[in-house]
Parts: sequence; C-alpha cells; structure tokens
Amino acid sequence: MNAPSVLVVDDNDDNRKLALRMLQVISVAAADQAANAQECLDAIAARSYDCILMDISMPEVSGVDLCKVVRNMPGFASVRIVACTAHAGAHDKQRFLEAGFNDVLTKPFLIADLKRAIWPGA
Amino acid sequence: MQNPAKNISLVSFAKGLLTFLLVATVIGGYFFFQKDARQQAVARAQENLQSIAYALSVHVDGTLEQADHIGRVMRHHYVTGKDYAADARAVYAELDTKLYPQLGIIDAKGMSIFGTLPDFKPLDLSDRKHFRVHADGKGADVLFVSAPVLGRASKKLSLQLSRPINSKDGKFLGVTVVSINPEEFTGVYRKLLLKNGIIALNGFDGINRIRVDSTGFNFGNDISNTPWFKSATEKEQGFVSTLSSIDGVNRLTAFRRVGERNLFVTVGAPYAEIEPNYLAGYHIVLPWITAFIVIALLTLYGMSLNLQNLNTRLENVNQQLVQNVDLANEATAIKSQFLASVSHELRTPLHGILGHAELLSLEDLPVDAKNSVSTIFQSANHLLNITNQLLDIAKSKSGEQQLDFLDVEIRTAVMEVIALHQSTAQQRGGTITCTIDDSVPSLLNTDVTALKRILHNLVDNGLKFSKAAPVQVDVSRNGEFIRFAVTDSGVGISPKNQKKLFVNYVQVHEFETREVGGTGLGLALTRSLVELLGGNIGVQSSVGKGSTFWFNLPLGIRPAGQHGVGS
Repeated sequence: MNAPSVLVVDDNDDNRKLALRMLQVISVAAADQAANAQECLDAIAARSYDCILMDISMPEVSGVDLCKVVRNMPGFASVRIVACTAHAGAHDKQRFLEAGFNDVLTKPFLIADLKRAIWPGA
Repeated sequence: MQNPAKNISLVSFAKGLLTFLLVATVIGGYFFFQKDARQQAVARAQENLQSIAYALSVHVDGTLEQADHIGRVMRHHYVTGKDYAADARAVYAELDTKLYPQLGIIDAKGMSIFGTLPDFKPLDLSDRKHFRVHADGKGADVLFVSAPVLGRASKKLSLQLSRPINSKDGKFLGVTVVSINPEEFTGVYRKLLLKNGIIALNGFDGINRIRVDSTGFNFGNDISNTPWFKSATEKEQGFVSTLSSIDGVNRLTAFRRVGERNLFVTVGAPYAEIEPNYLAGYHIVLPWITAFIVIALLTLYGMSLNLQNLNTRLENVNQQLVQNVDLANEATAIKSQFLASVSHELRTPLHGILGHAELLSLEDLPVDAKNSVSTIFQSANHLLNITNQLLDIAKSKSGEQQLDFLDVEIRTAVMEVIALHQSTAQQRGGTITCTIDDSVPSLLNTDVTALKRILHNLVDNGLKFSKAAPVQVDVSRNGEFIRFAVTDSGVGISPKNQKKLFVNYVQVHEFETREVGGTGLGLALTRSLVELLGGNIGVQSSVGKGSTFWFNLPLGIRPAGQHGVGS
C-alpha cells in the first residue's frame, strides 16, 4: 500500500495541528483537516481519503455519530476510519469498534502508534 | 424480606387474643368458683341449720312431753278426788322453777282454783286462750301450747301448756296449766345462731309461739299468709327462704315438725352471713390473684414491647447495614467514575505535551535543548503512567477490567518492557539485565497488556530504588507456572512493611524517606492484575540488600492445555 491520504477531524485546533505534524513525520500522501462534522462531510465529498482520523468528543455531532453517518454513505463502507480519543475506559474501545471504527488510538499516542493505526500494512 | 408491619399486626393480634383469653379465664373462673363456693356455703349452712332445728325440735318435744306429763298427773289427782293441791305442790317442789314458773288448775267456769305461786289468789281466766280452746273444744283431749302470755299472777311471760279435765262421762271440768319460761326454752339455741339468725316455734294454726332473734323476742304473729308457711307445714322437715315481715331480713330457714305435734320449729340464718363466711377466703385471695394477673400481663406486654423494640432495632441496624453497603457501593462507583474522568481530562493535555515532545526530539537541537525535551517527555510519560494506574484502579474496582487471553510470546513481551526502561536505566547510570531460562516455553496464554503492565510496574519500581545499581529480570519455569522476578539492589523493605506493600494507596515508610514518589497504587494494582491473570505475587527482601518482587502466571489456563506449554 502506498502512503495514504488522511483527513483529520477534530474540533480542537491544537490537536489538529499536532496530528498534522505527526502525519508529516510519517510522510503520508496528503493530510487535510476538518473542524466539525459538516467540514468533514464537505471534505470527503470533495475528494477521497484512504483514512479518516476522527476525534470522538466534538460538539453538535460526536465522532461516534459522524462515523456511523460516513460509514453508511455510498462508497465509504471500506474506508479506514480511526478513532482518536482520550476515553480510555474499559468498554470504550469496544464501543467505538462497534460504531464502525476500524481502530482506536487512545491519547496520548506516539507517532509510531499513529502510523500503525492509519497505515497497518506499512 | 418479610413485611415487618404484617408481623407486628400479627403479634398485636396474638397478644390481644392472649390477653382476652387470660382475662376471660380469670373472670369466668372467679364466677365459677364463686358460684361453686356459694353452693357449698349454702349446703353447709343447710346442714348446720337442720341440725339445730332437729335438736330444737327434739328438745321442744321432750320439754312439752315432760310438761304434759306433769299436767296429766295433776289432772289424775284432781279427778280421783285426792288432795290434789298437796300432791301438785309436792311435784312442783321437785321441778326446775326457772323452767316451770308455776302449775295451776282452772275450773269449768274459767276461775283459777289452784296455783303453785306462794301468794296464789283465784283469778278469772275464762277469756284466756289456753282455757277457751278446751272449753270450746268439744272435750277433745289434746295438749294446747299457747303463745307466751304475761302471767296475771306471775307478771312474767310464759307459755301456757293446757289439757282439759274431763269426767268419766265426758263432762268438762276444767283445765290443767303448766307454765314454761320461754327464755329457758330457747336460750341454748340462740347461742348457736349466727348474727341476725332466728329460731322460732310455730303452730300449724299459723300463729308463732316464740320467735327469738338478736334484737329480742316476740310472739303471737300470724305467719299463715307468708309464702313459705304452706311449704313448711306440708313436710316433716326441709328448707325455705324466708323474707321476714318483721325485720326484713332474707334468710335461709330450716323447718322441722316437733314430734307428732301440730308445731314446728324454724331455724334461720341470713344469706348475707352465710355467703360471706364461706366466700371470705376468695375475697382475700381475689385481690392477690388479680394483682398477679395484672403483673403477669404487664410483664408479658413489657416483654413483647422489649422484643418489639429489639426487632425494631435489629431492623434499623439491618436497614443501616443495607444503606451502608449501598453507600459503599455508591462511593466506589463515584470514585471509579471520578478516576475515569480525571484520567480522561489528563490525557488530552498529556497528548499535547508528549506529542510535541516527541516531535521536538526528532529535530536537530542543541544538546541542552535535546535533554530538556527528553525530560519533558519522561516527565509527561510519568504522569501518563500515574494516570493509567488511576484508570486501571477504577477499572479493577468497577470490575471493568477487560482481558484478552491470547498466546503471547513471552520473550518478546519481556524484552519490549525492558527496552522501554533501558534509556531510563542508562540515564541513572544503571542497567537492566535479563535472564530467560531455556525451560520457559515460547508462548504463554495470557493477556499481553496486563502482563506488560505488571512487568512495567515492577521494573519501574526496581529502577527507582536501585538508582545506579543494576536491576535483574529473571524468567523461569516453576512447575505449572512461569515465574517472573525483578530484583533490585536497593534499600530493601522490612518484614513489617512488606505486608503493606500490595495495599491500595499505602506507601511504606522507606519510600517516603527515600523521596521516591508514587501514588501507592502501583503494587496494589500489580497485585490485582496478577490475580486477574490467575497468578500470585510476592516479595523477598532484606533491609540494606535489596528486594526481589516475583509473580507466577499459570501455563495454559485458557484454553486449558491447548496453548502455552512446550517451546
């Protein structure tokens, strides 16, 4: 698999910037950002991404709900969506996987962890 | 749990029933015994009264017989024409003059022609009943007993016993009279009587001859119209209830006919005196019985109150305990929730710190800056460890610890943990050495995250206390267990403190004085993780030489015998 193109969805500006810089280190093919659900939907409508890195705790539409929406859109059944969250409770990971995420990154995570999550075959 | 209110109402009902039965028994028993006692008292009184009546009747009969005999002797002398007066005086001299005040003879016209009184003078007695009975009696030879009369000669009350004197051809010649003192006649019997008792001598003609009670003496009353008169004259003996028209007293009265005569005696005792006499015992005992019953009831009631109090208190305690357990559970839940949310809130900034520190560490920085970045990274990482411990405690307390039992490469897992700490050890001037025995199989069926966490905690602890000294990690086979041991060459732990090691939030004294930080959660959490994996944990330590923390994990417990054993 070639270097993936990644969309970072996070309402927190600092978090988005950190994620983008980590992705830069990994040398992904492309890295865009979206600050909320609407921007996410607009972005994925504009172009295709190999992976969506999605925060869970966001105002208005949570990452869980947004993931379900995206997952049910035509052509998005197999798109890799990775949860990126500070929720580290015992049942949280299971909950997110059931919502349709392919993997869960628990904050804080290292660059290596991020790479494994968005680029499993690398 | 039973309904306490229902129990209490049942108890109240039973108590009420018991009380009612007890009271009913006492009252019923009282009346039963009272009735029984009354019957017994009346029966005994009847016996006594009848005995007196019998004695009286015999006495009266005998006295009358004697008096009549005297009269007949006088009559004989009078009829045969001898010196009857001298003979009569001779007889009279032998008599008890108190009982027999005088003897006399009345002629056919009613004139007394003889008397034994010293100053005897003839008197006209033709109107006297004891004369008239015979004068008008068609010559029947019967004894007449008069009511007491005030003697015109003696001036004393006396009964007059008279018999007719008839000639051989049946001609009425007069009567003989024998006087009897009624006091002497009845005195003995009065002493036998109860207070307010009576004795009486009555005639079948309906006139009482003598009636004596405690108030005195009377006679000549017409008793023929009393309710009991007929009953008393129909039988030889028996009992009647008499409500006296004279003194208004209701009496139990025994009657008995005097021999073959037309007379009967009555002996009476007031009911009011019969019953109390025999019930006196009950009247004395009754208050005591009542007091006893009242005390018994009060005691029972008090005991049941006490029991009820005890029950109530026990229920309160139970409720308190249940509430306490609820509170404790609630407190645990709140604590776990709090720890989880603290963990979440710490992770977000930690992600920022660690993320940027890692990015910075990739930059080409001056050595001092590089060291600073490294310190920032390690400090944040330390904070993350504490955060993870908090979260793990929360998980283990709320039973949310999730374990995935998979075949784990033992050597890989151990080496990964050591690699994580190698840089820390080197910075402190120490080393981490590792020996994995050949008998250790390559795979162990366990939760890799938990295993790494346990090893991580122990190695981390060892490094804290060893400082520059080496930390040794040994893995060996121990029967059906794999034994992991982390040995440091630190200060060691006293046996007393060893016991506290695996308890939540407890930091033993040496740790504080050594200025080694920690939440006190590490070993407690480690222990619970080891136990979750089916193993056990312990420590061997001597002060000044160092400690060995070890734990055993079972080989192939899940699934049993399929994985893990062999290399």
